[in-house]
Amino acid sequence: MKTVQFVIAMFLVGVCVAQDSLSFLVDKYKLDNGLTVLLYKDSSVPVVSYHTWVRVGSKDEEKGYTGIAHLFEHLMFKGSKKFSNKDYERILKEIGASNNAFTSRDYTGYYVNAPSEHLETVMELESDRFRNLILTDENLKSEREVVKEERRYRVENRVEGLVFEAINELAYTVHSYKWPVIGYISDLNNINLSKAKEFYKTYYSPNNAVLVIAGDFDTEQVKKQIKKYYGDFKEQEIKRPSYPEEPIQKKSRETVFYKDIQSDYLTISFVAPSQMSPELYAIELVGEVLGKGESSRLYKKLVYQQQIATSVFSFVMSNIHSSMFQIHVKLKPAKTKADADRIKEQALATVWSELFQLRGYSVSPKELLKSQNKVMKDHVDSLKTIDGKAYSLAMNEAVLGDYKRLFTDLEAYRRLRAQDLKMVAEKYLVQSRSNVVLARPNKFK
Amino acid sequence: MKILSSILAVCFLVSCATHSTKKSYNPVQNYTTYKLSNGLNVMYVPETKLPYLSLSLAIFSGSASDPKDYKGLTSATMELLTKGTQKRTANQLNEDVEVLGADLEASVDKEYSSLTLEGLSWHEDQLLELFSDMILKPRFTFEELDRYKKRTLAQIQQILDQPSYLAGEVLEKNLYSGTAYAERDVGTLKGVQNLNLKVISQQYEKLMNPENMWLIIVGKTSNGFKDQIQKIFSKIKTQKAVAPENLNLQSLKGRRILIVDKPDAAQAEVRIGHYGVQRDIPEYMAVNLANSVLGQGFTSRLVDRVRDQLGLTYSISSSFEVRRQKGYFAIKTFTQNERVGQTLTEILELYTNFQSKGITSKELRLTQDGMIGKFPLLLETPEKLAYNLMILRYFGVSDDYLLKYRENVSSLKLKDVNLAIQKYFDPQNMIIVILGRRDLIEPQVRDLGPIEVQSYKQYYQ
Repeated sequence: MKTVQFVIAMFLVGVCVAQDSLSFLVDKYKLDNGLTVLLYKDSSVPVVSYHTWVRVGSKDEEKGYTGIAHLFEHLMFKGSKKFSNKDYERILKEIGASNNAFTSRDYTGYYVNAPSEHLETVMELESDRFRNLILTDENLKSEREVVKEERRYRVENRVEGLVFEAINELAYTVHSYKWPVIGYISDLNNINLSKAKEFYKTYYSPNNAVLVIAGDFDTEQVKKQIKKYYGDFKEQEIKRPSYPEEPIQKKSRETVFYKDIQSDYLTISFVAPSQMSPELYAIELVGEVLGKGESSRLYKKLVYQQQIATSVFSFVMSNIHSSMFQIHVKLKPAKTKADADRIKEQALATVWSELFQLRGYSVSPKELLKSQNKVMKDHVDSLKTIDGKAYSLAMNEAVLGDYKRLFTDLEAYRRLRAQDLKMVAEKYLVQSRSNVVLARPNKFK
Repeated sequence: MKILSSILAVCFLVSCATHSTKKSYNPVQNYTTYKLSNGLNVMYVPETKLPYLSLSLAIFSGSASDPKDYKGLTSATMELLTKGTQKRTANQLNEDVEVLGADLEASVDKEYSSLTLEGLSWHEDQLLELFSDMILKPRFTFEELDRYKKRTLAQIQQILDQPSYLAGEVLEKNLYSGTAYAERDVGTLKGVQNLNLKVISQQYEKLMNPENMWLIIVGKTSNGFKDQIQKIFSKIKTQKAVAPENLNLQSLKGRRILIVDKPDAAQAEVRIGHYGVQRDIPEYMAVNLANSVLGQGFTSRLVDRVRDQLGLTYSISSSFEVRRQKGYFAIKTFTQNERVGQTLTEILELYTNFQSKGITSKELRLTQDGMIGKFPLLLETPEKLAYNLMILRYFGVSDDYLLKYRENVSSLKLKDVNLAIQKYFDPQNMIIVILGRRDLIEPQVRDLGPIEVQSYKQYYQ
């Protein structure tokens, strides 16, 4: 949700920025086949940003085939009916475009940023792979190896990756948010061509996608082109799996794992409200107050005063079904296990104490103002490029269901009062709902 | 605007940044530069839409100027600028910055340092006051220095937990051994331990030289802002700049393989490097184009072979790190410990072929078109424009580089590019760093050159 807030603002010094200076006109419509289209025209720079988001992520996977949403994202670059993978990349390079894709628990996004005069070329390339992707065993085999290497790089060879994976495995017991977006190696090995084709057929349908084009273009011409390239793409019924409801956690959970690292890495996490919930605004600001920046409560205590951590941060990983409030503490290296235990206990006690304070007492007006200003600044940053604007529109439309939240969320943050932050802390940030993950150096086994 | 916090990696950005396919589009115009009465250079790039303001002090001096016994001095000095002023404690300063929602960052590179404060433009007065307070009236205290030293020493140890970062550090340390470019910017254990308030204050005085700095302003400002800048920053006294130490690098001879043993590594990090180019060579653009063919983006030869055809890695690239003195060229990738031999063999064969045969006319045309087409994207925002302009000033290159970019890219000839490849790419003389499991890796690479084995813990220094 952080990427989406905006519009009016008059925080610290009462300066009011007119709404129209921070919002922008968007033309939204749907094709008969259900494809949602958002057009934002901005001719200040001769570029376009072309985003295609599909409402499918790792939450839609079945057990035993984790990672298929992300692996499939890779396969989308391996060639379509009209364009081989080499042609696809060659053409994009030739026109000076940059492109990539990303997969989350809830969505998969593809983007191309290109000189505006080549918009139709981009559309032809992108529409063809969405309709006529060619899936082969050879491509699947090769790309599976690439993804395994990506997993080793992002997860297995770095403590942060292992910790993130452990948090979700611990905090979720039944929901598909339990497994990692990138999947497990054994599951990646299970994915065959037939599964990949089934996945494509099930989710890559126009009524399950959002197309956002931002930048320098002629609106009427683009609309004609969209009809030409996407108009006869048939919609289909999207059959999603059932998502088991995660029971409310009654008792705190802990897990420890060991690796050849220099110091303890401690995290404390709580399942938080859905990205769609109004409560998410407040809990995001709690994250700001607690662990964003050097004036945050935990930084001042753990890094500055006690000097037992080298870094600390807290944030909310927001998702459609439920989010995750996370506190990450990288502790200072210790010489002995006894020292490490003492440092870890001190850090945990400090975190519990600060959470207690947040549940029991309202944050100060200055802290509230600071967190609201930070949200505002982050929002301005996210809108600096045409790509940033396209991304934000796509996120709001594809994930939250309405791009207009981009222009209304900031007001929701601005209206929050200290009491609202206290209420969500009381509800969600309680010890019985905590999930503690500790990564320890092998030498302390 | 974190100008030049990654200046080295960015030289490519400059190289790719100049032309619109729409001929009338010229983004290299909406900026002004001027000098204050004390010689301090100022660049202003306005923003008309979004309400932000970025203030950055760019200093053309960095960790390469650290004395032998105080490696890490420049990093410490820049960081301590953010840890209190004559009227604000560290906590008060943090509070005053963050209550505005602003971002504050000090960064240091080999011959470049910067302090950047960026916030919302309606906080213009507060941002300027805070920024000038840090730069003009810092307070270096024993308490903050002690806190900085303890934290930095712990972070140096934690670098061992970041294999990708550590592999790059190992390559640089071995390429530049014994020179001012050898050590990490944040310093060595000994260097950081030795730091004291006297040397910090002296380094601050040295860094604050208007002749060697730029003040970069990007964003929305009000009337009278320029006068404020003159009034505030003309107070910095001019002094004689100290020339950086000459590196005196020795040529590399043959292929040297360093296996950095990390017994629990789930994957091997691979770096292949040799000395690179200086920014003022006439073939600079040709070299960049050639490197784009070799290792930039999804169509590059390295990605096509090592990732797409063989599935050996998720990512592989080549780049030139350009510095004021000699920078370096590096190929960077990672793969399974069990497949390092195959990966290296493929890379070396490809690289050797690239160097001896050069690129094709088709690749030349494709890359020229791509570089020209990318121009509007790479100078899309005021920040990106400021960033590119500042890099040119850092290297002493005229703005013509940007202004005439398209015609210069278009006029590159195949013969000239291939001559540049033969001259500056060197697959025979290099350092190969492999950070991973020695027991699995060593048997696979025995035939590729002399091997030296080190422990990753050796780099905790």
